[in-house]
Amino acid sequence: MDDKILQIDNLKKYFPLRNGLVVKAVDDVSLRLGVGETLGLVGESGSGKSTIAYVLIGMYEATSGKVFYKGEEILRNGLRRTLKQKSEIQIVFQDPGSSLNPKRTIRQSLSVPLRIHSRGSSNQSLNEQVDSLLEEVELPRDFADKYPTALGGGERQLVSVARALAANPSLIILDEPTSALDVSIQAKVISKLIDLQREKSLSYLFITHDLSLMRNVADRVAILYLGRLCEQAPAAEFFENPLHPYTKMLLSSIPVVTLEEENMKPAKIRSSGEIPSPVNVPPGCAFHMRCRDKMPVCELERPVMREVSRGHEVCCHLEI
Amino acid sequence: MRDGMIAVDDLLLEISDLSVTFDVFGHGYHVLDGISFQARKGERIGLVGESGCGKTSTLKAILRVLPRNAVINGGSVSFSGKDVYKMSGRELDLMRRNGAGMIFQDPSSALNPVFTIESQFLTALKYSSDAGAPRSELYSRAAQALENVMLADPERIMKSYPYQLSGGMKQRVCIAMTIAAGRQLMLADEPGTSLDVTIQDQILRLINQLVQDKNLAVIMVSHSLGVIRESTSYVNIMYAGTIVESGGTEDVFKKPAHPYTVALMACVPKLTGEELSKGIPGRVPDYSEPPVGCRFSARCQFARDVCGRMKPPRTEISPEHFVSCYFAGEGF
Repeated sequence: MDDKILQIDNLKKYFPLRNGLVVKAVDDVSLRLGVGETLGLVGESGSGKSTIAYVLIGMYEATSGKVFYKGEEILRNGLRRTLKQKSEIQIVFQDPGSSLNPKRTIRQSLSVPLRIHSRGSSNQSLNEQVDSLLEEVELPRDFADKYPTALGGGERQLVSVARALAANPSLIILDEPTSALDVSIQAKVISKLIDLQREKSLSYLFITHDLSLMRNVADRVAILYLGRLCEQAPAAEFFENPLHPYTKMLLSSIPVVTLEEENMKPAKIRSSGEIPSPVNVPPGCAFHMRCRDKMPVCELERPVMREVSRGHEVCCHLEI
Repeated sequence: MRDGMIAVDDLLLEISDLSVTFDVFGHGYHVLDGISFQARKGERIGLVGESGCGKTSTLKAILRVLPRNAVINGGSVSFSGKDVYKMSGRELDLMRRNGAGMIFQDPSSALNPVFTIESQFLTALKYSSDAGAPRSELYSRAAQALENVMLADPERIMKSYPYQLSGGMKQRVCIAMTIAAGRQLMLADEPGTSLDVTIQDQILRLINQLVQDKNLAVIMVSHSLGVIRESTSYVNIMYAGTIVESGGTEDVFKKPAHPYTVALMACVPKLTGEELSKGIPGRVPDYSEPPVGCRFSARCQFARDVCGRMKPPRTEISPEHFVSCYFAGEGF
């Protein structure tokens, strides 16, 4: 238990609609995240990635399931998280343009969490703390008195990272932190995130739709489809030996830049079909309608997650 | 493909040395500088670069739909042998009706949410066909086009409102609207960027198929090197309003020669897990005062004095592979 910073057991988040239907945004998801580790949570739009993030930071109440943070349950209904627990789990959102208040200077935005969580030694003034936060993400000090609009996208995202760091967290949820950025800027932000993780032994839950980025960043990769997990494995194993038909389709759809990468793609799995509506999840395996290896059982029975090799779990009826 | 064997009339689009300045409150922003490339029937030409490098402005310049404050201060664009900026109103109209059409990044905002697909499709077709074509004929042409983009059940699609269709389906509808009028040049502005990767894959395959079947030319604009590599035959790498490198796609990706191309490739995360570069230092230059010489010089780790002072020549380092750099081919 001790080496796990986060443990999610059978998490469900359903959104009832007015017409009596239910959106099963997250349906029975279990995940583990070790201290200092990065877990890449990958899925297409509507797969429930962000819903999981919002449940973890307490923006949504889970329908059922348990979440343990450092061994303590943090999701029990009616349980108010302590300030300490709140400060431990921070989030960086996708679009720094809308997650930073345009009417506040960077200094004002960074001061709020500093004041609430009273980080650092008390003999440091708030301004000094803001300066040192900016230093941690390698932004110049004079940025503190600028407004977000004066900054580039990458710089704004680094400010968001600094704001998360202000609470002195152990776990940061990165919700598509670089998908709004150009690749040259993305590379800059990613390398900063990796440095910070090493310095502060942070744990990251990295939510993304960009599977190739996870090759560089994640220690473990988990694939979501329609609110359910398909496959999870240590990153190296995952990319060398993808097993779930959906994972294979995803990998073969990625546009790549080198021949070596082309050769890594599972051969000739052509993408087809679209992700169905989460209101109307097909019975049995959620992926069966797009799966070329579909068997009769796939339409009837929901497969269960099973371990096929050390740490490599697949949720599929196929013999693997 | 480009060995002179192709008849001259296959040449659909020729842009030579195009320069565009945007006038903003009396300040000139030199957004495009010396853009040149051609497109022949059956060719897939890529424009790739980061945000703000002038990809979309180039497309808009082709259709002559740049905003009013844009000034063409050099070069020319010609479509089917005619200079787009010397065309009469009627000729321009004709080019837009039957010659060249654009597919936009976000199909949800390209389609009008309050009209059915049928209504907007037929309006578009009416504009691009001869006056007086009966509605039933327009309808069957639209339905045929929807079938060509692999949409099952065209009749249901025609009755739908955009919100009733998925992103991928909407993009297929937009593509169908472009090809239905028999246009020969497709300008695709990030056609898969707003879609999921498995859907993007399908859309790119569809465009490739249409280029083949209908002998179209396509200008594919994307910020993603991967997309460009997999969907074009010839590529132009853009940086800050200039083309820094161009050539056969396979060639350029195998042997990138401009320092910017090399640096950009190193920033792309790869499935093989090569270590990611730490980004490209510095920022894109200010378009109101771009460097006199190479626009990348201020960020280039190989730059010497001459780079900032004089524009580098376009050098052919191997057949049909051009690099605008003083030290091209020296291997960075």
